[in-house]
Amino acid sequence: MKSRVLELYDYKDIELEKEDTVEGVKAQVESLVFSITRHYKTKVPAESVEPGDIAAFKSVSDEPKFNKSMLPINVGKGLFDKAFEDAVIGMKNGETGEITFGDKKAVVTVLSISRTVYPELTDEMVREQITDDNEDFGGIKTAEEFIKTAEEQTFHSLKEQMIYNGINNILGQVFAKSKWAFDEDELKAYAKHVYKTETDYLRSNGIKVEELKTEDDFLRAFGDIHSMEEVLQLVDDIARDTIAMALMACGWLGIDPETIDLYDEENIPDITNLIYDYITDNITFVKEA
Amino acid sequence: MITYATDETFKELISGEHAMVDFFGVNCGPCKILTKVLEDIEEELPFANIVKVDTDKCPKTSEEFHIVGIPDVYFFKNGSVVFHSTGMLDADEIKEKLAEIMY
Repeated sequence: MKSRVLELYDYKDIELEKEDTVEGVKAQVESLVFSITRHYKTKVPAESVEPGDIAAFKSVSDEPKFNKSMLPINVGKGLFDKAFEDAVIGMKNGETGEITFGDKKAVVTVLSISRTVYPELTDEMVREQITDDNEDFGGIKTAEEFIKTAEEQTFHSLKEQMIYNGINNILGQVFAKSKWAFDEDELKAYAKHVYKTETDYLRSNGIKVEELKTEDDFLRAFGDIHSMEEVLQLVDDIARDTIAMALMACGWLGIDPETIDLYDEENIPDITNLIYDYITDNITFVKEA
Repeated sequence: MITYATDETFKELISGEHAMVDFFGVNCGPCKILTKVLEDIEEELPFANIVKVDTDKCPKTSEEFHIVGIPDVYFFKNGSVVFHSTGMLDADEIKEKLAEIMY
């Protein structure tokens, strides 16, 4: 490698919070429980209209849209008319009344109200829905076990995401606070290599890059990219970041940059483990309350 | 409600106030994704008239609509086509179009 780092900021000088809360566990566990209980939902009649109910109305109005003898609505979704749907909330089954919504009025009769009810998770549901070959929950037979496993797995997964976000954040700070001497020829050559690697990857997925008819097709194949300028900027950024990370590794691990071959991925030392350990040694990750 | 049409029943199924028609193939990956989306929508809007047409089992209807790529989706209001799309639509787009033809 010809590029050099003139002053390398030490990642250990970046202060970390002592504690960080892993958020979103409850919501994800609820979602996992819902994926089971949704198979056991029932519809029951309800006494008064609430958001989420499927209700049918008779509506009398001067406006044709609101003058219907049978008007089925999933209340609160706003697919029919948000103001109308808000105005019928609280009306009782069988009730007739005048509602005002915005600058409009209608006389509305509630013909029926149906509510979807999802039961609590039971052991039987877990046994019926979770097969033994289920990658995450195979072998689990009770609701309590399912929820406990879901909590542990979700906490671990979200914690790992936070740590990897932290690694990227620390690398970004080190990059910004260090002084670099990038060799322009090396950068350009490596950017070409990155471009070739990316297009080879597209070819390996069946996309014949040479046959893409328009620039738009090529950009769509690349992902969320909107111009060739963005593609070229992307490969330049990847090249620069890879060289910078190789130099960080050399600085922190005491390796001579002359021995690094950028074109041999296995030859480039990985520093993410160093920063991973720094984060996990210094931060305690706790569950949300 | 989701109903599976035949060549014989298709015209009647789309003759009402509104209908959404999904032309699909059993081995088509995006069609399977769309089927799942429509099943979820059916739960939210059980009063929506969703008609599924298996292009292998309904060759006459598929020919009449010149179906080449699937999924192929039509929205009818009072028996007339008001919107047509070849390819996937997401749940929000479908619900929006259903609301336009239902109300």
